[in-house]
Amino acid sequence: MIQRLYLVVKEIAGSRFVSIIVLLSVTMSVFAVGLFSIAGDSLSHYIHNRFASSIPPNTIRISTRQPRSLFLFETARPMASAINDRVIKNIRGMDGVTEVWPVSALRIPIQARVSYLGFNYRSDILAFGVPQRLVAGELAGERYRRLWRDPGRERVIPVLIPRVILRSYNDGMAASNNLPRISERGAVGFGFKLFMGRSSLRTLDGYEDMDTVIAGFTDQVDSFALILPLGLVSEYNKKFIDGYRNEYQYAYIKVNSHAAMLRVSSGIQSLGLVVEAEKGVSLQIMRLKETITLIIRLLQSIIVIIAIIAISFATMIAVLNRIEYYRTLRLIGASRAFLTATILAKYLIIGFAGAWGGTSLLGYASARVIEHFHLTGFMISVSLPEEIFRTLFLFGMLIPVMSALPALVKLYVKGLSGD
Amino acid sequence: MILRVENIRKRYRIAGVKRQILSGVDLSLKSGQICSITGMSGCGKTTLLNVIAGITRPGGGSVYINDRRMAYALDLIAARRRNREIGFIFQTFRLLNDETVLSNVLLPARIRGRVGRETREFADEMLERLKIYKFKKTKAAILSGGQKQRVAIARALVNRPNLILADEPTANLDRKTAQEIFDILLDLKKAGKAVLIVTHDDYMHRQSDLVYTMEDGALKAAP
Repeated sequence: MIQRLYLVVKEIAGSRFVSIIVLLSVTMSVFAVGLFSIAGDSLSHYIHNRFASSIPPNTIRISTRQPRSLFLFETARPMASAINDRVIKNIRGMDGVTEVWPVSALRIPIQARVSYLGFNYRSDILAFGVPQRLVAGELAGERYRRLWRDPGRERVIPVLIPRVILRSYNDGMAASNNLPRISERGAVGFGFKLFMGRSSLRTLDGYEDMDTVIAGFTDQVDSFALILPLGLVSEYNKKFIDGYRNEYQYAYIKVNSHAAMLRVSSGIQSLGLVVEAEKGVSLQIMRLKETITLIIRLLQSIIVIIAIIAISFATMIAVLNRIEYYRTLRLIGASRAFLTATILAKYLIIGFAGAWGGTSLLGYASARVIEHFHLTGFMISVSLPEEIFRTLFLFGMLIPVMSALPALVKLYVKGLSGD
Repeated sequence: MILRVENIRKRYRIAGVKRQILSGVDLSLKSGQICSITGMSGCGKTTLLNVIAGITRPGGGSVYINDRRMAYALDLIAARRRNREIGFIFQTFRLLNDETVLSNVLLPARIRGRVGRETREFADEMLERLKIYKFKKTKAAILSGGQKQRVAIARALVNRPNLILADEPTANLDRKTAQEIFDILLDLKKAGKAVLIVTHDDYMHRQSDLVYTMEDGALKAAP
């Protein structure tokens, strides 16, 4: 074994000039490929930090498919695409989903009665139930947050008014009917009555009138309906509708990245639901990242191809220059396998040295670049991620070995063949 | 029997035309025998040596060295047998000019993977006997033709083979040096080696036990 290693060392020393050229080619190509990897990663992080994180992925709103209709009326409800507890659980399990907030309609007659300074106003209304986590930031204080979780605590129902209703009232109804404009601040804490199970058209047995308090205003749920605690809505639906099972009109889904937004949107669509989300920004950010990655990969491929061609030529020259040496070895008892192993071992060792040199140079250069290159939010990694380091090392070692294969073929086809 | 060649045939395609180089060569060589082969240039003498050494695969026939058939299909085994059982001497010496004399002599032993003290002592003994010991650490490039051929002979003997193949070993040497090289080969015969030599030299023919002329791809006993 030692004697064979001696022959490998002699083989490396035997074509010093070409060995140095191959060594430098491997070092520079590993350095260049590594540099592009680091630059690509840094650029991706930059995009992530500057754009992707600053522009958080929009919340996805999902709904059921449009029902079939005949003139003014719906002819069938879209049962196949219902949003129920099973679907919600399914969505929660999707990769990248951080929160799911279902929205349920109150499906019983409901009427509001406002009494203020002798003025009485009744109106049939619509109401949706939402979980506290969706609107926690819009509830005006801890009292209302506690009340939202447990309305029975004070026997008062907290409600949120969508700002679109307030704006419509102030700009439309108040101005046209000489009514006072309502301020958000003044309205919070204002009480009124809600008749649960009763409207101007229908009254259910056992309807209830409940004290209600305005707990804040919301932009989260953009509709012309009062927003109530989800648990309460579910409770009233069950109380007045026989065999009622939780079924939601909408659900809001929060995801952790732009990539997750696109992925989850497709997953939800495959469940037969409609996704209402602005995917444009996410799509553009993802496309930008993909384009940069593609350009980096393209440049890396060009370097690898150039390196392989250059090293192939160098090894071809080296092998053909030493053809008489190989013939002599063969005549005095070296097998083809022995010669192949010797030549490949030589280029493996040169590749190892080149890869080591290239990665060391890369670490050194990265550290120097960081000292002189400052762009807010642009971070250059000094230490190579282990995966990239391993890949670069393997690439550096194997390039000269692969490049030597054409030379070996030439050697055996033309040079050493006994025939 | 050290060497037995039976009905060896070999055909080459030269410029698109198939040409029979060896057409049924038979040859036997015992221990302590020298056989010299002569013939016109290109008649197939070197091809015969390459076939015997397991470098070139014959179109038909068999070669037995030390009563074991040469397996051409398995290059690894053929190469091992060439390394251990055959010593090759060439017209152009085929030395590594950048290496020392000793390094050249030890090369077959390195391929074999065995360069112990015993091998080194044997190499020294060879160099001593061939009168080139004083050049042991000299680069082969600066030796004369005769000295180079002595190094080549020492290299051929380092793995102690029974069969020596010599392909025109004196063609590049002057008359006096050629005579010395022939005398060394005759010494090998006395040492019990079988020597197959391709040469045009009359002196060697006279000293040989068997003399053949290669004609039309076959060996014919010389008169």
